[in-house]
Amino acid sequence: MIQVKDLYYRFEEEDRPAVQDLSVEIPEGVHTAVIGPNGSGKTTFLRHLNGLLLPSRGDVLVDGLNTRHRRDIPEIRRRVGMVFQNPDNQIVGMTVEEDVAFGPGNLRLPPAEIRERVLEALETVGLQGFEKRSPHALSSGEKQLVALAGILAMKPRHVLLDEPTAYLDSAGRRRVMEVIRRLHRSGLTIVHVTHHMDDTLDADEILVMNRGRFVMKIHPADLVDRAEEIQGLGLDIPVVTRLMARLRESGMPVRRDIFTLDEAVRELSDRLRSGSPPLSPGAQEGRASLP
Amino acid sequence: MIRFGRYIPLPSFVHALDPRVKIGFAVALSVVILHGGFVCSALTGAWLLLLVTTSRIPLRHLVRALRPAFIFLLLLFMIHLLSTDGTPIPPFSHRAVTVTFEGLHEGLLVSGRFAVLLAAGALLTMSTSPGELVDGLERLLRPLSIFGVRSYDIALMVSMALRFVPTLLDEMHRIREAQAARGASFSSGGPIRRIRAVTSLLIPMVLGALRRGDELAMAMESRGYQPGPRTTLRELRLTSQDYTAAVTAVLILVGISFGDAVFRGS
Repeated sequence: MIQVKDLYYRFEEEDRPAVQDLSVEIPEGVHTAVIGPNGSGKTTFLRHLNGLLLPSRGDVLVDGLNTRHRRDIPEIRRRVGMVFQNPDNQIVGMTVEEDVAFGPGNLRLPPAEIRERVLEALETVGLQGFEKRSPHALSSGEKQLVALAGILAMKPRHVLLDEPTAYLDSAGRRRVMEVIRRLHRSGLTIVHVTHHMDDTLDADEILVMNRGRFVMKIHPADLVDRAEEIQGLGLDIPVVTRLMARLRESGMPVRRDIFTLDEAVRELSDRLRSGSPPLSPGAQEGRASLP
Repeated sequence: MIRFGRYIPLPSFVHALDPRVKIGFAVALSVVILHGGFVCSALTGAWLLLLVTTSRIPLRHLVRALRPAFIFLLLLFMIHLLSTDGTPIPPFSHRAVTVTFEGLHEGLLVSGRFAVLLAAGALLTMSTSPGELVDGLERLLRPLSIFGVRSYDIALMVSMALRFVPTLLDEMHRIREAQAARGASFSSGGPIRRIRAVTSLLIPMVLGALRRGDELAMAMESRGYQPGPRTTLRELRLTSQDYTAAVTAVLILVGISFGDAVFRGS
C-alpha cells in the first residue's frame, strides 16, 4: 500500500507549489491512472512515490516505510520500480541482458540468481532471445519493454509508470500496455501517469490532476458523467465512450463500461440481434452531431 | 560507427579465456614490444597471427580493422626515416632530404611495433565482448581500492560511455540535419566560419547530454544504484585453462625478450 498524506512540494526556484493538498491511499494490487494537462504536477506526484523527490510538507509511506527516512530508501526503491518517458535515457547496459541485470546487481545478488531473474523478466515482457542484442538497435517500444524488464528483475510490488508510451508508435504502445495489463493481473500495484485518456481505461481508479491538486477521483465507467468537466481541462474522452453515452441518452440501453472499439461492436451487435428498441429519428440526428 | 576491433562472437579457445588473462596478456605484450627490437616485434607478430588463427576470426577482418591505421603507420615511418641522423644511404641523399641507415632502421622498428600493438588490441576487443572487458578491467583495478581507486564506478562509467556512443552519434546527425535545414553549412567557408558552424553543433550536443545525464541519474537511482560494490551477470572464474594460458604466455614472452636481448647483444 502506498499512502500519501497532505503532500505539498515546491521546487526551490519557483514561487508556486508544484503539488499541494495531495492525499491518497493506493492499496496493493490496484491499478491507478493519473491524468491531467501538462504542468499539472503528475510527474512531481509520481516522483514522490519512490523517494526521488522528498515532500516539502506531508508524508509518503510505501508499505509503511516513510520516504523521508534515508535508511529505508534502498528498500523503498526495491519495492517500487519506476519506468520513465524516454526509453533511451534509462537504459544503462551495453546489451539487453546487462541492462536488465543492473537493478539486481545493485541489490548485490549472486550472478546465478541475476541470470535467472533476467531471463524471467525478459520472458514476462516477451523479449526472450533478445539477451545479447544492443539496446540501440531496438525499436522504442522494445526499449521501453527492456526498461520494464529491468524493473521487474528487482521483483517490485509496485510499479510507477511516467508516460511510458509517450515516445512510442501505436504498435509499441499496444505492446507496452498489454504488458502493463499482465503485470496488474499478476498482482502488482500500478500507478500510471499519462495524458492519453485511452491509457486510463483499464484502471481501477483515475486520479485527475489540475494545477497541482487532485480535482477528481473517478472510475473509468463514470468518465462520461463528468465529460464536460474533463474536457474543460483540455483532456479528451475516448470517442467510443462518448458514442455509447449518446446511444444511452437516445434510449438504447448499452452497457456503461465500454471503452474499446471491439467491445462496442460486440455490444451493439448483441443489442441489435436481441431486438432492443430501434433508434428514434431524433436520436439519429443526435448521432450526427456527436462532439 | 566505430569499426576498430568490433567484437565478433565465435566459439574459440581465445574467446573463452577469462578477460583478465587477455587484458594482462595485452599489457605484458605491449611492455615487451616497446622494450624490444626487430626480433621481438617479428616473433610477437608471428605469435599473434597464430592466436588470430586460433580465435577463428578471419584474417581479413583483422586487416580491415587495422586499415585506417595504415596511413598513421606510414607517417610514423616517414618521420623517423627523414629525421634520424646517421650514415646517409647514398642514392637517396640530396642536400634537402637525407635518408640514413639509422632512419630506415628506426622507421621500420617503430612502425612495426605499432602495427603489432594495434593487432594485439584488435584481437583483444574482437575476441572479448565489451561487457566482459569492463568486468575484467573492474576486477583488475579492484586491488587499487587501497589508493582510493573506485573500480566499480570506473567500470560502470566505461560501460555507460560505450553504451551511449551510438545514441550520441545519432543525436549529432539529427542536430546537424536540423541546423542544415536552417541553412547552416559545415563544409564550406573559411576556417572561422567552419568553427562557428561546429559550435552550433556542439552547444545543442552538450546541452542534450546534460539533460540526458540528469534523467539517466534519476533512472539509475530508481533502480537502486548507489556508488560502491555491486554484482554483475557474469561471474569471472579462472579455470585451469586460464592458468595454463597465462603461464604459457609469460614463458613465451620471457623467451622472446631473452632471445631479442641475445640477438641485439651479439
